[in-house]
Amino acid sequence: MIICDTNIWYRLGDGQLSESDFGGDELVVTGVNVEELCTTETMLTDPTSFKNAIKAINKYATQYIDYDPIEFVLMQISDTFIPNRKAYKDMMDSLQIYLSIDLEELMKDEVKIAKLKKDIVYWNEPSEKLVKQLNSKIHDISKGVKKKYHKKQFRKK
Amino acid sequence: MFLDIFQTRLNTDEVIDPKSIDWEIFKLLLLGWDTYFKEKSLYPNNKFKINDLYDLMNLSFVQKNTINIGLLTKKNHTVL
Repeated sequence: MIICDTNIWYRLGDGQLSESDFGGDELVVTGVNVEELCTTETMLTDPTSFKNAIKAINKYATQYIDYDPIEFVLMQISDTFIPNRKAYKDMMDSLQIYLSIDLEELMKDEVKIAKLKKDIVYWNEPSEKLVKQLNSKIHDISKGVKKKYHKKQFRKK
Repeated sequence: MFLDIFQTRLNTDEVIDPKSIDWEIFKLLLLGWDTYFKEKSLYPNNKFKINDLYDLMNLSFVQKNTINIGLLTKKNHTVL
């Protein structure tokens, strides 16, 4: 069973990957994949790739883990914890609705696009906040590496 | 610390018994997060982006009988 990153669905959708690349293992779509797709600007900037990724999920995913990732972990350690799965079921339903919408036609409506862009920024706010926190930690770790091993020890990109 | 975070998030009076936890599962998760953090911190001026956060969160779904190929698409081709 393979837990797929969202890029895998994009690559299956555009044909860069095929089912045979996975040696017959089951491909699993997660709540994280679905959330990422529901909150991406790719639906506006490249609607074809966006739709093909959803089609790839519909075609190849044998299972949908419709959980919040942290709640999924909590389930492993508590018998009584009840996860909230509704949001993830709703998001998958939203993807199926996006599939039936002519996104290129929608892009001609500036008012709707502006609203959708605003919504995407709003939906991403909690994640952006967390990313900022992670980056502040990275800065601390990098400073420690620099101090201990000197600048030359940094890898070059 | 790991246990404290989960205890807080559970938001119930239920007390988690560390002995009841299959730490093998979390070893995989922590290894994944650790690897990701190290990769990020080794490059100067490297920053997390929102996509990185999704990759990190997706690692939570890794179980003993599963693999995560999300990182396969990255430059370093790290596979758990």
